[in-house]
Amino acid sequence: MKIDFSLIKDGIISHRRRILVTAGVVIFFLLLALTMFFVGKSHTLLLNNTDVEVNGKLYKAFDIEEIIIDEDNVIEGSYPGIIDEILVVGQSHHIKISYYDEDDDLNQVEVSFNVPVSERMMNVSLPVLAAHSTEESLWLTHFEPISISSEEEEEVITDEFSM
Amino acid sequence: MIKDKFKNISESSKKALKSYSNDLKTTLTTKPTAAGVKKFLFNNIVPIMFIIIGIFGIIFSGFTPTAIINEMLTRLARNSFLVVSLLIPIMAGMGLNFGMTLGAMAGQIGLLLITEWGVVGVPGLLLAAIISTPISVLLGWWCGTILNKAKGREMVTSYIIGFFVNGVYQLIVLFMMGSVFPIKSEILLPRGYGIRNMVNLTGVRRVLDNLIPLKIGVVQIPIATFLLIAGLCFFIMWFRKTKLGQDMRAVAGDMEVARASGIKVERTRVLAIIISTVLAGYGMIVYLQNMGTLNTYNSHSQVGMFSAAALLVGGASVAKANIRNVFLGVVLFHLMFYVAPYAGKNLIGEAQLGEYFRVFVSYGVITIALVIYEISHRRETALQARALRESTEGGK
Repeated sequence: MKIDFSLIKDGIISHRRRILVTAGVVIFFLLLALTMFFVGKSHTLLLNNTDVEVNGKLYKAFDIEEIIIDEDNVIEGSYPGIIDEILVVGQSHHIKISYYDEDDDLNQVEVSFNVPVSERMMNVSLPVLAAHSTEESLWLTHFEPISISSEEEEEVITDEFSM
Repeated sequence: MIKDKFKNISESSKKALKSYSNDLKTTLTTKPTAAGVKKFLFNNIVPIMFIIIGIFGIIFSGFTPTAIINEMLTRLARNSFLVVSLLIPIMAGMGLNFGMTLGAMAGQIGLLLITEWGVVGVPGLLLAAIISTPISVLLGWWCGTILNKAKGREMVTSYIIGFFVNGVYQLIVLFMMGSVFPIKSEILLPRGYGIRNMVNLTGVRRVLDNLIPLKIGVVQIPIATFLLIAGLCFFIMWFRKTKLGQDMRAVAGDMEVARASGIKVERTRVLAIIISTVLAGYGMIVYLQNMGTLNTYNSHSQVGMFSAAALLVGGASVAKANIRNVFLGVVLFHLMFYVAPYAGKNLIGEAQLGEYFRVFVSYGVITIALVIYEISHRRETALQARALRESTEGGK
C-alpha cells in the first residue's frame, strides 16, 4: 500500500484515524452494554399452582414434591393454591417439576423455555405446564402487577439538612 | 593549563562531595532538633490529631479489635475508589475536585436505570458503569471548561458547580423520570413521576464484594473490590509517568512555563477533571453496591466533602497527595466515624453527640488542612523572597 505522506503532514490521516478509533471505542462499549443488558436482565417468574381454565378446559392444581429451575433454584414441597415467586437471570431457562397426579403417582415434567427480554414478570401455570409442556404460550403468560397507589404521598427529601 | 583547570575542578568537586557526605552524616547521626520536630508536627498535624482521636475513640467505644478491623476493611473497600478519584486533579494543580459529585450523580443515574430495567449482578454493575461514563465525561468536560475560566479558585468553583448540577439532577430524577423518561418499576413514586427517596439495590447489593469471598475467622475481606482498587492505584502510578501525567505535573508547577514549553494547559486541566469525574462515577457505583441502598437525593451530596476530608486526614494537602494518603486517610477518618458515636454514648450517654462530633470534625479538618496549607505556602513564598533578596544584595 502506498502512503501519501503529504496527507500525514496535513494531519488528515491522523484525524481520520482518530475518528475511526473513537467510533470503534463507542461501538465496542455499546455492544458491551447490550451484552450486559441481555446477560444480566432478570425476570420474576410466578410459579402458579392454582386451578386454571384454559380454552374451556379446567386444569387442577396438584401436590408438588420439588421444582428445580436452572439447577440453582430449588423449591421443595408445594401445595394447591400456592404461588411461589422466583427471580431468574437471562432469557433461556429450564424447569423440572416433580408432582403427584390425581392417582397420587409421582410424575416428572422437564422443559426448557425462553422469557422475552421485555417481560418483567411472567406467570407459569404449573397444572397447564404438566399437561402441555410443549405448548409454551399456554402456560407461560405475561403478568401485570397491580399497582396500588397509596393515599399518602411519600415525602421527598432533597436536602437532609433542610437548608 | 587545561590539565590544571581539570585538577582544580576535580579538587573542588572532591571538596563538595566531602562536605555533602559530612552534612549527610550529621543529619543521620545527630538527634532530631526541636525545629525539625516542630516542622514534622506542623506538617502532619491532621493525621496526628486523628490518630489521637482514634485511640481515645477505640478505648471509650468498647469495640473489640476484630469488630474494628472488620468495619475498617468494609469502609476501605467502600470508600477508597472515591478518594483515589481526587488524586488526578491535585496532580494537575487544581486542588480538591469537589465537582466529583457530578460523577457520583452519573453513577447513581446508571444504578437507577439498571434497577428499573432489572439488570442484576456483575453485568448490572458493568452496565451502570457504562451508562455513567458518557454522562461523567460530558459533565467533567463542562466542569473543566468552567474551571479553566476560574483559575486559582477551582475548589470553590467546583463546589458551587456541584450544587448547580445537583439541581439539574433533581429536576431529572424528581420530575422527568416517569413523565419524560419511562419508568415502570417500583422505584417510581406513587404519583406517577419522580423516583422514591430510597431505592433498594437488591440486584447488585454486595455483588462485587462477594465476588471473591474470603473469610479469616470473623473478618470478611472483599477481595474483588480490593483488587479493583489496587488496579486503580497501579493505573494512577502508571499515569503519573505517562506524557499526560507529566504534563499535568508541569501544569501544576507553573502554568505559564508549561504553556511556553508547548503543553496545552487548558486541555490538560479539562482532561484531569474528566478522568476524576469518570472515576468518581465508578467509585459511587462501588460505594453504593456495598451500601445496598441508594438515597436518591442525598447519597451524592456528601460524597465530595467526605472524600476530600478523608484524603486530607491522610496527610495530603490541596497541592500534594499520593496513594499512601488515601489509605491512611480512609482508615483514620472512618475509624473516627465508626467509633465516635459509641464513644460519645459511653462517655456522656448520648450517641447523638458523637454524630454531631463526626460531622463537625469532617468539616473542621478541611478547614484546618486549608489553613495549614495557606500558612506553609505563605511561609515558603516569604522564604523564597528572602533568599532572592539576600542573593541580590550579596551580588551588589
